[in-house]
Amino acid sequence: MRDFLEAYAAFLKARAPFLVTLLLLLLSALLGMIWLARGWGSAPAPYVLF
Amino acid sequence: MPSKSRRVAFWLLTLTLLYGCLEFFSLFAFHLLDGGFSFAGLAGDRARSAGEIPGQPGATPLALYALHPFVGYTDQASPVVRRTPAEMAEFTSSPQVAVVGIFGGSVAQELSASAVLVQALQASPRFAGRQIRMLVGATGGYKQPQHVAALAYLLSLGARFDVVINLDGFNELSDLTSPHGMSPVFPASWFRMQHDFSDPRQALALGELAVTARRRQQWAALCARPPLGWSVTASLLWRVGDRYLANLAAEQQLALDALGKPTQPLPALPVDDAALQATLVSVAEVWRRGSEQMAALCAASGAQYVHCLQPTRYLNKRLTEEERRAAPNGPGRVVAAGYPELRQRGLAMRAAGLPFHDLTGMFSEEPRAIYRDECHCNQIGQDALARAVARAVLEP
Repeated sequence: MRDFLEAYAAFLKARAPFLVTLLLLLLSALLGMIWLARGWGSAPAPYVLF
Repeated sequence: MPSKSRRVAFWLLTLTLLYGCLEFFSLFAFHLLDGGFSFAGLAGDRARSAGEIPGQPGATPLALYALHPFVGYTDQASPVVRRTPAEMAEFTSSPQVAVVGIFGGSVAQELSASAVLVQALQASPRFAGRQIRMLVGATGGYKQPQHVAALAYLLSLGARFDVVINLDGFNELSDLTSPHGMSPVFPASWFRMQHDFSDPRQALALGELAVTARRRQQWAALCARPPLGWSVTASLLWRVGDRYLANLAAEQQLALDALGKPTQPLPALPVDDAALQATLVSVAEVWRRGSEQMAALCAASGAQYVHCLQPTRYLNKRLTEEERRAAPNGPGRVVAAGYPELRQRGLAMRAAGLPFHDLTGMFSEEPRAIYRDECHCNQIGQDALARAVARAVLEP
C-alpha cells in the first residue's frame, strides 16, 4: 500500500502543472456558470400565473 | 516508470478525485444559487421543466395552451379537453368506485395527483374498500367562472361525482394587473391567446417561444436520466441551462406581448389604486357566485361539494430564506389586499350552509419552508394540504 501511495504521489507530482491547470479551468467554468445563472435568475420576466 | 496497468489505475484514481472535487464544488454552487441541495427537490424541479407535471410554468407557456370552447383554454393533458362522453362511463359513482372531482388552478391540479389525499379518504369508513378515481377539472391559471364551466361541462358529458373539491382563490387575484385592459374575470393571460397568425411577426415570435419551451423540456428530460440524474455537477449544468432557457422564454414572451394586440376588443378595466378595491370586490363577488353555482350543481347531481380557500405565501407564513428567494414578489400587494375579500365572503357562505374551509392559516406555525413560489407548495406543504382537504371532505 505504502509503495502504491509513493508511486502515486510521484505520478501526481510529475503531472502537477497539467492537473492543477485542469482543476482551475474546471472550477473557473463552474464559477462562470454560477455567475451566468445568477444573472439569468434576476432577469425581468413576464408574470405568468398558475 | 510504473507499469501500464498501474498508470491506468493512477489515471482512474486521479479522474475520480477530480470528479469528487467537481461534485464538492457543485454542491457549494447549489448553496450559492438555491440556498441548498437535495436530489428530491431537483427531481421535482426537473419534472416540472420536463412537462411531466401538467399545468406547471416552464412546461408550457400559457401562450401555447389550447383554446377550449367552454372553459377558455386548457393544457393538452387536461381531462377537460380529452374526455368524451363515452370515456365518462368510468367516472360514474358506484358502490365500488368513488369519483372525486378536483377543480381550481394548478395547485388543485397538483392535489389531484396526491397519494396522501387518496389514502386519507380511503381511511374513512365512507370510502373504505372503494376505488377512488380523480376526475381533474383543474388547469393551471383557472379561476372562476372557469370552475363552474368545467364542472357543468364534465357533468354534461356524463360524469357523476361523489365529491367535488374546489381549491382556489389565488388566481382570482394574481392576474388583475395584466396589460391590455383585460377583464379580470376573463381566463388568465387571455390576451396572450389572442394571436393574429396572419401577422408573420407574431407567428415567428410564437414559434420561437414554442421551440424554447420544447428545448427546456428536452434538456430536463436528458439531465434526469441516469447516470446524469445522480450527479451534482450534471444537475448544476441542468440548472444553469434551465435558467438560461427560462430567461430566453421570458424574453420571447415579452417580445410576443409587445407585438400581440388583442384581435378581439376586450373590455377595459382600470387597475390603478383608486379602482383596485372596487375591482377586488367585483372579483370576489364573481368568485362567491361561482362557488354557489358549483354547490347548486353538486346538490342537483347528488354530489358532496367542498370549497377550500387555498393558502398563499403572502399571508400567515413567516417565510424562510429559501421561500423568500424562491419567487419574485409579483402580485403580492394585490393578492394580500384581495384575500380578506374572499375570506369574508367564504365565511358568509359557510354561515349560509355552504361547506367553505379557509386554509390560509394552515402554515402560520410552520417554521420549515413550504412554498416553492407564490402559491405552490413543496412536498411537505402538498401533503399537509392534501390532509387538510381530506379533513374538509370528511368533516364538512
